Amino acid sequence: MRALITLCLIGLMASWTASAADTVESINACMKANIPESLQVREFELTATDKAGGTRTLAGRLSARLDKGKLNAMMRITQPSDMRDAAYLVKESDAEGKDEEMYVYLPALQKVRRVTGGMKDSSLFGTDLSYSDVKQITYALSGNKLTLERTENLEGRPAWVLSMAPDPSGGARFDKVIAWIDQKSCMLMKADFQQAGAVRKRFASSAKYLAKSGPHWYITQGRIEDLQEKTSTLMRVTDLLSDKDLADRLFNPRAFYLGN
Amino acid sequence: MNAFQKLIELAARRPAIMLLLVLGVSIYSFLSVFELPGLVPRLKLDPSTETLLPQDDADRQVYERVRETFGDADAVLMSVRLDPMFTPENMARIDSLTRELRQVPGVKTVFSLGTAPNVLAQGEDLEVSTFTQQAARDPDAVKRFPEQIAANPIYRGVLVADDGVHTALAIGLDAEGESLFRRENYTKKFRETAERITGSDEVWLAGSPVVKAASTGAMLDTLRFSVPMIYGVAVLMLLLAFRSVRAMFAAIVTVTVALLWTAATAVNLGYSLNLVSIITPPLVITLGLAYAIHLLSDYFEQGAANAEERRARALHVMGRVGVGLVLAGATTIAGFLALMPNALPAIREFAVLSSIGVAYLFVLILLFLPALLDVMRCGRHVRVGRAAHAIERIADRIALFDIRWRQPIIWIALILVPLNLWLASGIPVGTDYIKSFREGNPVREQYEAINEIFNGANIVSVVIETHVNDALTDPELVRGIDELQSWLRDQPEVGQTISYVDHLKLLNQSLNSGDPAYFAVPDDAGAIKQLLVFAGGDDIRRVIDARFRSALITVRIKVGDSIEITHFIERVEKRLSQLQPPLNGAITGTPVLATRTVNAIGQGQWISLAIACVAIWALLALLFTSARAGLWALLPNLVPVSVYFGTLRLLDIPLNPTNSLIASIVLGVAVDDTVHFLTRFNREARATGSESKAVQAALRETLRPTTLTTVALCLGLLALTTSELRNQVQFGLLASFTLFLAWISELMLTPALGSRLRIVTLWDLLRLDLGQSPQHTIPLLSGLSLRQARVFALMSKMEKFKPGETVIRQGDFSRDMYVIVDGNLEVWIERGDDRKVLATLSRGAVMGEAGYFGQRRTANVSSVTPVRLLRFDSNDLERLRRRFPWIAATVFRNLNRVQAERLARATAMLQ
Repeated sequence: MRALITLCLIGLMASWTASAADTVESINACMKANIPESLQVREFELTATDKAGGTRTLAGRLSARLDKGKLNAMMRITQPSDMRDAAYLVKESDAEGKDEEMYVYLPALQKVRRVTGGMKDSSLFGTDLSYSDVKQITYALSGNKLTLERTENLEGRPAWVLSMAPDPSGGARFDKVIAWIDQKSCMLMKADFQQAGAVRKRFASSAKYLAKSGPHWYITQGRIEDLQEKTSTLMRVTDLLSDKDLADRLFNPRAFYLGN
Repeated sequence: MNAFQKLIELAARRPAIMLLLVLGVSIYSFLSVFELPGLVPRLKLDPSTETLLPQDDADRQVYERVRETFGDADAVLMSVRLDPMFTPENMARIDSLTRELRQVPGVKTVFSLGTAPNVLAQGEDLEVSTFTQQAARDPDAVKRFPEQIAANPIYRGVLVADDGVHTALAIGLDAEGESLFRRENYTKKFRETAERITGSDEVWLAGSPVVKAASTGAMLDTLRFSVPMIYGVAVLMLLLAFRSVRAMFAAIVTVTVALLWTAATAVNLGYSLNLVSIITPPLVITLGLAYAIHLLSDYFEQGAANAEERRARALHVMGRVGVGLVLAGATTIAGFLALMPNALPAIREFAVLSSIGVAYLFVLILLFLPALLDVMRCGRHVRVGRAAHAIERIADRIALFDIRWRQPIIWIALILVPLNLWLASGIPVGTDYIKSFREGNPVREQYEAINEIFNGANIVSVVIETHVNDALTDPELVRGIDELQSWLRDQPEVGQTISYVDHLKLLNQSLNSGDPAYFAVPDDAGAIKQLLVFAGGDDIRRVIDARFRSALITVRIKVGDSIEITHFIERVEKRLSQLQPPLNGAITGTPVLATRTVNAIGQGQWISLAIACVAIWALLALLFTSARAGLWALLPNLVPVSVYFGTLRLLDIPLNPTNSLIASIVLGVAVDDTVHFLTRFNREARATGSESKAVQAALRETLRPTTLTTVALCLGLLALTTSELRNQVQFGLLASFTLFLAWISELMLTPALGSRLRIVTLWDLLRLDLGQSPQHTIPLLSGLSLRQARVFALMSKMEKFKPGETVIRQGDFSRDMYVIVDGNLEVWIERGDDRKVLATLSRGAVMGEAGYFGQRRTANVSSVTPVRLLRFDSNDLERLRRRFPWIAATVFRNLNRVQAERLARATAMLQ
């Protein structure tokens, strides 16, 4: 879920144009400035396709906001029916170096549990992305280990090609990530996750899936492929609202799972 | 036949052309086999057992489906001894090792204390970080690990052995990793990495990739050793036998060219050398050597000082050896092709490749070797040494012995075959791939250590399929799987099982504050699904698919013998058949496929052998134009093969993929010797008119090449006894033993049988010239077809006379009669000094019938022109009556008619 939230945040990079000089700092600033204070996705859909071609779809709603620069996000499942009302809450910790707190609510057990530890490297809902993968993009992109490799055209649009080498001590599964950032929207359009010199996973979207909510750009559709496992997950986002006032209870561990 | 004859003549008269042709094909073959630059061989080795099964095989399809859905089940198992294990420092070392292994190209996953989450429930908190993460965060947490692991059915005995000082890492490989594993020596790399990081001096590795890599290495080592060894033996044998460096060189070149062509064919057909077809190269070399020895034996019988003599000799040798070589090659190929109905593509590939190899050998030995010998000016003088005389003396003694003890020898053979076949019916089928490594081999030792400490090192899987989405979240079905797992745990072969049900129960317990009462399957399908989706993580994906319609139960078994695995599979399959719908179960995994393969090879063995025997018998019957002669000719080959199977039973050696090839190979080789003997015997019998003399003469000719061939083959095969793989050692010993038996049979039984056989070869039938329409122009042959007329002629003796020679002398006692094939003769008597001609006889006339009926010859018969006669006596006619009764009846009728006409004429003259 955090992956989805983070991807949405990536997608919400504002339409701050790339008129500045092409430096890592300028690109970084462009992307950072695009993150809205809050957002609400009325409907998202994750369609996971396994090796045999079988698909499984999960749909839900997502609310997220930045609280003193820290991410708070809540997701509630609406489909399929046997998963309805299952909910996740992620709260980034204020303390330096401390992991995020994750709360999960399972309606069938009627229990809320705070989950800590190594969930960040695990597959999210049977999809092809882990929280760590996305975190590598977002945080590395906003961090200082970026290298501007080149610029090139992606689908006929100019794009910056950035590379980043995540810190292996942070438990990163990939030793290098290459990202293609659309110069017009400052949106991540493509990312290759490399391990031992080979691309293991790939995120890809298209300019035709770029949309705007107010001043903010976001991507309505993207696909993550696990090239090793030959599986993929298609993400669709519809009706995204940015800078919307969101109720506090949505991010309260004691109440996030109640009602809508 | 004309085209073949022309080819032989071309090779004899224009040897350079033949050499150039062979050179051209060899260059093409070389470029097919080796990739330039670098001379990288294109012919690959594939030691895996799963690929031995056909693509459409149901078991293989299940295996592929499981690999596709759940990833590679054939992980490398690494065991590291750390005493004491549970210290923060050692946890950090395991974490570093896990990280470093994950960075190795081709490594997909590493399951270890560094990646396995240690789920801890405390109130409303759920801690899901790994053991090593927890140790890094809180060093005191390490003290609780032994207890936590002991309480966790998924990790207990899997991540840490019961002794508490061995930890295991399961290293999953992708396709790249599988191919890199042997090439980059990952076994060594992994071990060195583990030793360096952990400081442990006891790092063990097991699992299919390790065994496959070691097997491939051993196979390559065997090839690297055995092929040069066989060559060495061949060089030695050829030098000893023919005392000619050039002859040795020519034979070696010929065999090498055949090997190169065979390898090129394998590449072009897309074959790789597998556990079965790996035998092909030594086989082609040894058979080639056998054929070359037969040809060289004839070649060195006469010297040739100039080009014309050399060509004449080449023609003579090709013509003489050609018959035997065609027959031998055809029967060997028939023996190999009899393996074609086998269900396993690997066996079929072996059959095709070996047959093609033999065909190449046939062409090269017959056409290329004499041409090469000619160009090299080989064999100018006849070399008859003392050894040759000694061999002749030995051959004569053996022949006399065989003739004298003919009946007992044949009876012993007739008793041995059914007795040994009865013994063979109880041979078990199976192999143990680990125990096929010699004792003390690191692969075997480490496997056995891991097998003991971790309660099983062989991993099989039970796949549960429903074809219904979310079916595996139905509590009733989940309990059914749980019961199946409990049943599996009770089986004596099983050390450990893991399924998604274990994960589910653990998750349920963890989300209920660690209460042991919740270590159970939830009653609600929704709860099951939510637990699996939200809390499952990556571990769940390896045991249940994303749509919850198929799942995997991983089963560690402690046995490696295919016979024991077969019994286990049978019990599991019976239990799986009792699963409630819509659950469908199947057992799979590399050990299962290997077992199926071994069983398929064993079961196919008898059918293949039966087909081989029938095919060889049919060919022999066709070649010798008699079903009975075919059967007798087959007997000397059945004896060693049946004794071989009887020996297997007596020594309690199971039939395995390697030793199951011995029967076909020996049959192929032994038939060659039988055919060589019988064709020579046939020629000599026709020439001398005496079966006993023919046996002696044929044995004189064949004893040396047969013995040399056997010695060379046995020594070559014994080279395999140096292999690290016991199966190959066993193969070398058993094949040598069986070839030795075949040699004994060839020296004892074949001559004993030959002494009572007058065979007519197809070759003779096709070549025999009886003039224009003998059935219409020779009254004795009236009513017969051309083939039948030739059969009669071949069962008789064809004799040639020059003009003026006496054929029959008046007053002699002789019991044979003649029919004139061509030429003119005079019948005359002496009246004082006068010679009175009574009659002139020509083609078709019958003469000498008085002698046939036991009277003295009443007149002389001399040839006027060059004459060819068919001579036969009552024994020939009796043999004809037994073997070809219809032909005999017609000949008797015609003889009767001839006699009646003669009587009528005599009566008319008297009147």
